[in-house]
Amino acid sequence: MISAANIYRRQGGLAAVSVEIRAGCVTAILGPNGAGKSTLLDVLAGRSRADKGEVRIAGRPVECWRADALARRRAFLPQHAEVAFPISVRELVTMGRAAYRAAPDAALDGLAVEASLRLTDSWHLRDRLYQRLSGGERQRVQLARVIAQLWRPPAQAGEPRMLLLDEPTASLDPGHRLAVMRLVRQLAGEGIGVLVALHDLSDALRFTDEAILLTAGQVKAQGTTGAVLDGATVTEAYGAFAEVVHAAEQPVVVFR
Amino acid sequence: MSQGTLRHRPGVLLALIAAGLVLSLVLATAIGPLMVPPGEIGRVFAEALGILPANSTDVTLRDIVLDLRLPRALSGMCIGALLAIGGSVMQGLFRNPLADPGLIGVSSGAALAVASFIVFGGSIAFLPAGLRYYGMPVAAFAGGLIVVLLIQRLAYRDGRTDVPTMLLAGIAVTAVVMAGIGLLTFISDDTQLRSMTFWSLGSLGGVGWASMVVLAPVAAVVLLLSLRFADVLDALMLGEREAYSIGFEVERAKRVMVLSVAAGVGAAVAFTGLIGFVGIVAPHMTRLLLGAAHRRLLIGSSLLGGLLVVLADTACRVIVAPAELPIGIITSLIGAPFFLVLLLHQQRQGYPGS
Repeated sequence: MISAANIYRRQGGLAAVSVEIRAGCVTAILGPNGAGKSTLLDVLAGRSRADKGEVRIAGRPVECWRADALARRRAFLPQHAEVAFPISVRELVTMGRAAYRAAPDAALDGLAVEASLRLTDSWHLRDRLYQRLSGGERQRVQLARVIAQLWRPPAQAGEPRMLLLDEPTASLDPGHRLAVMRLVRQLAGEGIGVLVALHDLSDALRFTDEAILLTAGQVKAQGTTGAVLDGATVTEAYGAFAEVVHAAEQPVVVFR
Repeated sequence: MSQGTLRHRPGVLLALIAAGLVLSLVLATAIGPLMVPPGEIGRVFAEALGILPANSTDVTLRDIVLDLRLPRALSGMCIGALLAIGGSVMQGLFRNPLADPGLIGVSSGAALAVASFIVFGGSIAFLPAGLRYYGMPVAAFAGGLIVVLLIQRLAYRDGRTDVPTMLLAGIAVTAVVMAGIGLLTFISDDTQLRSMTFWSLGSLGGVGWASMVVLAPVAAVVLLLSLRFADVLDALMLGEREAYSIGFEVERAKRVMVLSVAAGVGAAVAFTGLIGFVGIVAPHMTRLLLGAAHRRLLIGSSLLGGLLVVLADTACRVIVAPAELPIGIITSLIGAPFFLVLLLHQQRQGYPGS
């Protein structure tokens, strides 16, 4: 659905990165700070242009898409999301429906907003001011916004959709972190292609199918997550001794 | 709590603001050196509309109402609306509640053009008097627009208008323009200097039906245009790239919005000179009352901006009657402390982008 071939971008330092995101598959983008994870996500989402190489979404070059048509198929969750003026959570999540404004359907938008808020365990926040929420609550509400953007009534759930998430669990408590990762799997189960930048390698092992490990803008390893995250590769990439152990029947990456 | 419940009934609040605006128009028509009771205003209208027979009201009264106060009040309403819309759009674009149309150079450009016109303007004496009335407004409008276009051009890079660069370019270009005004001040004589000073303080003393003919359509077009971009402005609350990600062609919208603000505010200051703080105070009060969603904000703040200018202008006419205080003095006197409160409040709240 999204395929990127041989991407270069000087600002952000990406070199020769190729990625394929498929329907129903969760792909992790991993790597230390400054490795180029956010830059790659931005380029893949069409938010910034590659200096060299081509990004195609559903077969068409990303720059040939109209913003609203693209927004109905791909949603993007930024790492930091500040909202300039005080607005309610419900208003914010409803903005996710802007791409459907050509054929407005308030009832459908209402369903989408409620479903997304419930999925992210933030329905109870709907009438609060976004600015008054804690960091973790904001992150869940922003996630609800991008889910609302891709939401379809069951009859149209087959349409190809892609979700790009830049560190969606960064400021969440363990309970909500797990809930979000399970939600990501659930969305993939509905046929959405997911690309997610993560810092928690254990979560990557547990919840993602494939992984791209970036270091200094270059692909260090790429393939199934289990194959990418072996002790030696991770040690080299992050500059800290790492090994993969099993605890409570889960693979866990331990740094020493 | 009562504020909370009212906030969820924006229709009621909008109606209240609109009623306040109508009331302020009546007040502005009634109050002055010669008081005209509201009943008399009604009779004048009835006569003008042919409901009452001709000459059933006092001629002086009729002239004061129809030819002086009413067109001035209505122009004030349009000017206030234009300044408030300009402020709302700029604040949305810059994602900062303290932004003002002055940032993109409208006011300074207009001021330079007007100063040039005052100093060198003798050269349009050949025009018929009817057109000469529009000389200074046209100069102000053109000056504002040229400076805005220059600033926008400077901020244009890699196919997009960079908003932070626009802010900085605005400051730099404004500094150069102010130097130009300084130079003109230096070479002007005392009369010209006085005109320039008074222009920079703003006054509705020169408006009438002739300006209303221009201001009413401009205000209508700018309001409708800005409403078309209400959802883009909402999306811009999230940031420019987020607005693109949720499905808006931000570039085109930005260009059109900047130009329409330049045209609207340019037209307003063209007839009145600079009127400070309305563009900040009106949108902010509206945001407190109605929330930040832009459709409501644009409608509400244009009504409230109109209300504020009409009231301020009435105060100007009354306070030192029979002379008139420049309106900029009143709006700054009330607006500046308000601005300060807003600034301190914002620091405590920690708005992003501050």
